[in-house]
Amino acid sequence: MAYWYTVISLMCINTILAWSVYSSFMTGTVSLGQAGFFAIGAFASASLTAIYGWHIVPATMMGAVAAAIVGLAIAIPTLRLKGLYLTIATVAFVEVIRVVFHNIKYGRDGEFAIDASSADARQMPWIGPDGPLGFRHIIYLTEHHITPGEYAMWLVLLVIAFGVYFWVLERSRLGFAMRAVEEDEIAAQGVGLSHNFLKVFAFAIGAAIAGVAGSLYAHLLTFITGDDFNIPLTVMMLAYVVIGGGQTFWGPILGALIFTLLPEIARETKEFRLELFGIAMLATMVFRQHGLITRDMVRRAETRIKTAFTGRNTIGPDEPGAPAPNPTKK
Amino acid sequence: MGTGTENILLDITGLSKHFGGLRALDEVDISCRQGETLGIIGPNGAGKTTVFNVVTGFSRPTSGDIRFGGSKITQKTAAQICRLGISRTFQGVRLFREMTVWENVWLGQNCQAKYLNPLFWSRGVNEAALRADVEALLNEFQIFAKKDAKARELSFGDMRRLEICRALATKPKLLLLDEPASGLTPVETTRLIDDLRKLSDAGLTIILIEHDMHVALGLSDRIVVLNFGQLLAQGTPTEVRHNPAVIEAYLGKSAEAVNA
Ligand SMILES: Nc1ncnc2c1ncn2[C@@H]1O[C@H](COP(=O)(O)OP(=O)(O)OP(=O)(O)O)[C@@H](O)[C@H]1O
Ligand SMILES: [Mg+2]
Repeated sequence: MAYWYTVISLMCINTILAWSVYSSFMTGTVSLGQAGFFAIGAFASASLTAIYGWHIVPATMMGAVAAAIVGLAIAIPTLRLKGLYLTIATVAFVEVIRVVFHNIKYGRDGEFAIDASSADARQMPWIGPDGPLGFRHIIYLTEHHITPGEYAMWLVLLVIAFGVYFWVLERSRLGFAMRAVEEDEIAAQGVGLSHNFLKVFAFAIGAAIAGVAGSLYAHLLTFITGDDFNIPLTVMMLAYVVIGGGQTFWGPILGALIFTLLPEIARETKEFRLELFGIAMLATMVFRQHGLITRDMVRRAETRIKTAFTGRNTIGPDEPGAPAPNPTKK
Repeated sequence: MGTGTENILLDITGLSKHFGGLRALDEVDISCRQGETLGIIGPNGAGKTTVFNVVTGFSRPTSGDIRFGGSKITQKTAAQICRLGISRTFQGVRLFREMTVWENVWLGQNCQAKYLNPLFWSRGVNEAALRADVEALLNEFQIFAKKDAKARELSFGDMRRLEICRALATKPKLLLLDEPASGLTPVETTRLIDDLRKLSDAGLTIILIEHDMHVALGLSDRIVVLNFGQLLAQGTPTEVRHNPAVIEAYLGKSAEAVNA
């Protein structure tokens, strides 16, 4: 059972990661830098809980803030460039972050051993990132007796919270303004939208969301190394969005779920994970350019649900005594 | 002449725009009074669209000054200029093609809606009133029936009208129209002329680039003629029509047709 809780937790983390790509995707920016922000969130929050004894919630928030600040530092100079340059800059950024965390060492000696009989008990384990050995002993969850089931439940709640954010965003003027920038930057400026601001904002939010995912991941795995946050990972996150569908926030969920569950259900596919990604990407490009879930599908489903709920208990306009339909209502 | 400077809405002085060696605009002075409809005409490549691009902040002038309602807007961004009250359409129609007709116009209101104020909802702005405005605009331009269609599914004439609707949704003080009648059928053109007259009668200041002489001369209170980036002539439609330099440079052989 604990195994499936871990799978659920990973599904949640991957969904959040997919949404972090989706955030800037809404303004037409393709970011391949999310693994870098993921790493920053992971190392920053794990440092706070493991080294300084913070609570996981403020630590996660700080991880998000750190990622957002770095995101701003990258976005402001590069987003003015055309899309492709930004994409390349973000790839380079992932490499830089990976190398930094591969070599960095800070922290303190552990005061106690997790297991008195282990070798670590006598060696006093190092708490903090330890160069190529990675950041071990991120034992917040065991220390605070949070079971895998509880953790999975919290993550599901967090996914729902982010889902609500995107649901509201997509229906707000701000979300439409982002979509407008995606569709036609010049026309968007022509109706008074600050395209640079919107792009930078969406990118920084995406970085923060990746930072949150990083914290959740570090505490789930208890052990991270710089090499975990590599370019194949960043490509996968983009694939969740491209394959699942980048027009609504539902698409990234589907993409993340498929590619987290598939290797677990059909173990044989685990080996061919990357190859499967490649094929799925190609197939999407050829057959469904907008991904599996498109905006039109979501709209149709929404109207169907609406009529299912309202159709029965309202009086039809043709029936006598029915109130006249209000023509100004959309 | 000489009088009326007090109600000049847009004042362009010594405006130049060079693309490498090409002088797309060369020391051009144009001013537009509050409430008037100003036509800009000129042959292909005369620099008409460039005037719009520079005024609306899409391209930086090489030199010169642009004042709108008395304040300088030369260094402002396109979005800022739109929020100050200058709205435009594009020569090649630019719509949010994947969005519905209704959403296109609704987005045009974003600069009044202060869409970032409390991040999602605009406090102090009555969304219901804005929605009613969208519908009024769509009705006025007779595309309300298509409000739920995607912009890309519209006929070309409807696209042009939708673009004007969207520009009006920003509540402009000055509307810049880049060849609004090009590509329209004669019936659509007549309808457009009617619509623009109504806007002008309601007090809106309009600058209009137009190839169709009937539209330009029929709608404009005053006409500015550009040729090779320079101001060739300006005056009332009748003056311009009879200006020998204009007939020579622009109207050419079709001068008879215009004067007929
Ligand atoms: N971005 C640009 N880079 C280089 N040259 C340009 C640019 N924009 C316009 N030009 C040139 O400037 C000149 C004026 O162009 P403009 O588009 O203003 O003409 P126009 O009067 O609008 O013509 P048309 O009637 O064809 O629309 C043309 O020679 C054009 O090729
Ligand atoms: Mg032009």
